[in-house]
Amino acid sequence: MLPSFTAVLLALLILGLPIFLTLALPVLGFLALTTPTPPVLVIQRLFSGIDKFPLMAIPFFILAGNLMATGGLSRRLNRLAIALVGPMPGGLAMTSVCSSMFFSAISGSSPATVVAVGKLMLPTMTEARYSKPFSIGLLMGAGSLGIVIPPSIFMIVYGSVTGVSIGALFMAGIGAGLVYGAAFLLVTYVYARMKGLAGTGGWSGAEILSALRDSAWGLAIPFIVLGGIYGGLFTPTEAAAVTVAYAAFVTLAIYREMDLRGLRDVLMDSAITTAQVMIIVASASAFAWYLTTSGFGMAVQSMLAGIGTDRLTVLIAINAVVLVAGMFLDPNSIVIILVPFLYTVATAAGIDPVHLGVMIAVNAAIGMFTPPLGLNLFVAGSLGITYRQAAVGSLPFIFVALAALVLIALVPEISLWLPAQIYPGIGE
Amino acid sequence: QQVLKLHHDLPEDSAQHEGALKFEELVEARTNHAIDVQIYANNALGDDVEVAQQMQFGAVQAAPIPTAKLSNFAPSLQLIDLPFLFPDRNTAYSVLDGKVGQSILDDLSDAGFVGASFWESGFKQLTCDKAVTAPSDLQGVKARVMESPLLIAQFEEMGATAIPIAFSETYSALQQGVVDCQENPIVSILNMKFYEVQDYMMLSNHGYLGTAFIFSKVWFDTLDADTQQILLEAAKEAGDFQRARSAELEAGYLDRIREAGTTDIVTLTPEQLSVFADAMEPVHAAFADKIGPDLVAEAKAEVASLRSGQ
Amino acid sequence: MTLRHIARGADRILSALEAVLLIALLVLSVAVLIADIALRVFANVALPWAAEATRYAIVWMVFIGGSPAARKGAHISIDALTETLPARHGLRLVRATLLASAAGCAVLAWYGWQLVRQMMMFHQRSPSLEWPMWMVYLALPIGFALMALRFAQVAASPPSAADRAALMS
Ligand code: NA
Ligand code: NA
Repeated sequence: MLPSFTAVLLALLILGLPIFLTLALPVLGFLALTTPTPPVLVIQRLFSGIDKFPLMAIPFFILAGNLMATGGLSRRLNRLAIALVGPMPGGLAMTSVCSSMFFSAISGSSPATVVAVGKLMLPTMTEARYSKPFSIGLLMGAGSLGIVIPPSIFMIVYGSVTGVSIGALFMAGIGAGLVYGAAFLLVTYVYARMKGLAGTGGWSGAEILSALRDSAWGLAIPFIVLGGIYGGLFTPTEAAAVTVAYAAFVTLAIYREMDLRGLRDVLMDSAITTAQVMIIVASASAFAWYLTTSGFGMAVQSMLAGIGTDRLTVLIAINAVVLVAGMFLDPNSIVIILVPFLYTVATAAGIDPVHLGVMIAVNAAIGMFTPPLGLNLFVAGSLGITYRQAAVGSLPFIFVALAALVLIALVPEISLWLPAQIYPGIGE
Repeated sequence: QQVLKLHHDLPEDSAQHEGALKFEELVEARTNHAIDVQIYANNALGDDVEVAQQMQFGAVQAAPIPTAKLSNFAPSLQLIDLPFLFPDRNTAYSVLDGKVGQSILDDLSDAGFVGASFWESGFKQLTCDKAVTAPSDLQGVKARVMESPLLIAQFEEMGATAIPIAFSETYSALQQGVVDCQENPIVSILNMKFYEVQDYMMLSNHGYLGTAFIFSKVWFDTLDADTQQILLEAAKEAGDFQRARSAELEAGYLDRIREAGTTDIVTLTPEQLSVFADAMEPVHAAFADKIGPDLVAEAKAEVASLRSGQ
Repeated sequence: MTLRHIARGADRILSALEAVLLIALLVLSVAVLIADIALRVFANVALPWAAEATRYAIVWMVFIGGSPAARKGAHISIDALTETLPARHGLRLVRATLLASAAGCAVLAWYGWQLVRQMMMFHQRSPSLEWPMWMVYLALPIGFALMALRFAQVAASPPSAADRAALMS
């Protein structure tokens, strides 16, 4: 049943039906026609797919991003970014990489990151002559990293499914995240050098100082967010709401560049963007349920049966399987459907379970922006980017991310060095 | 051949999964494979409440679901959440396998379920970032609870602030110190690694986390009487096996937590426990109306008679 | 003539109602969560229903928000094929997908209503606020019915000059 289901789905996708219907309607149809399962299941999944508190980071970070963009916070921060890194080749794009990594590490939600950082950085990057496909590819790639960097619900689910220490997984994610981020920074630098994007004149001490002073309120945001989370005041998801409150305060009470009408537009705009994004997340959950119950996991198991215990073969096979699965499934579904089996195969080949978790996380992150069904490719649509631009833009960064993945897979120490300092028995 | 999708919320190395496998074996053998049991562990089909909804319209056929999660469908299930209701496992088994348990299972029928038997996750223990040996130690402390007014009331009786936090976010919330304490059976404390981020685990046994093994009623009603009988008996027998394995595995879980070396395990004396029981006692009265006063009285009488009989 | 006036008036009223509801839900969810965090941090008091209220507000916002998104043509889709086709065929394809979307949403609205009716029978309540769950799920049939209406509305209205230009380019 899976091949014909996939064919229908891709046909609807190409015909241009909205993505949420492309995912939900084939599930409904196949449930009704080929299974005894009542089609109302789709409705139940559409609801429960987004009735999750951690997903509330999506509306709040979108709203915070819009408030900052409209209320003057972004303009001031961008001025500072240009003053600080503008003269450096690729400086602005590197700023985007770092902001994306920060946002996604906090929210754990790459769609929220792509939209929030995208609203902030896309216009500035376009102005600085970066092409749209390059910019969006960069944002999607860097924004997908949240599940690798702690805190990460993906790692928590992986830990509970496999019995591996979550603390060790969090630490292992740091090394892998740094390597992945460094690969992005490097490519950005090379790209900018090649395209001659060594930005704006030279550095000016006076401009830097003035921009610093001007953007002080905006600069405080990462400190408030990180301080609040690591000081135990609020959870990462709640941090998104705190960011909204702070951005609203600065915008309305300090800068006063936005009137009530402007506020209304920002709220309405954020509500619609949230709807665009989350209705796709909701239907992806119906899609995952269908895949789970129609033997997807079994298919993978029989494919990998008898793979043996040669370390390199197993590494390649596991990464290939997760990479393909990641094009269709969200990271948490991958853990639940595939990991119990992959874990057995991997440990038999002597692969450290913490290392396996990091590899799968990086792999699932790559799946988030890999065509045809990577969620972030669709989410980019809410920034006025066409699917084709997003898909084209994603390609070079998929290769960058894959290069990082190969490094992370072949050099376990990247992930395991840090946790091995604290947790005994890791990487031995 | 009929497919029976069986959901549960724990990994494959749990007593719950062993029970599910036992159920599969019994059902498939006794129906001559007319029913194919397919097990979905780890919440693969959704969390407990979501799957319970799916069972109401027949998309999933069977599941052991924590009674605390089912109380939103039938209030009498909250009986089992009452703190210090059962002094030990055997008492819990006797009451739940007797008249009281049957009346609770019967209540599930109006919610679209056929209640077959009770399985378990075990007694809940309290973990904290400090040692807690008396209710007063919880004064002003923030404790993570699931979204349940009864469990919130239980912590508030001891002066703690009860904060509902999603299960998946609890590890981080404990790690960063958004909350200081949480309660769960040992199996969940181990699976979710709460011991990595909590310094003390109190063997408080303050509440019993039972699971009701239920079938989808719309689906169950389509089966012939013989098959129904096979399913009910298999649920019961697999449940007996699951309970035994749950108790056996728990001892090993405790050792693993102890060996991890990040958590002090605090054993409370009977005197200390009875101070906790007294402190939480008002919850019984406060929730009796919701659960059904007769049922609460009957359950307590049965527990008392079992105690004196020993 | 009058019919068109009525339609335009209805559209304006519906859009205004949607806007008020969406803004209220978003503001409410932020306010509730901020109140919860502030009370917890400064007064050690919890609002146990805050997370639940936030989730339900956002779920409603998402499915109602699908309606203005449909009206503005903002639902995300792959437009590669319509871009490639000659303008006349492209326009036909757009119309066809809009009508298919309207039909698809109508089907989802109908199944949504079926689920709500089942939930009414079973009396499930939300864990903290203890609201009947069918009321929360009502967002889906209402949201999809509105989306069906909006997709049909866009399909029926003649394409604007801007739309044509977009297709030509
Ligand atoms: Na993260
Ligand atoms: Na089977």
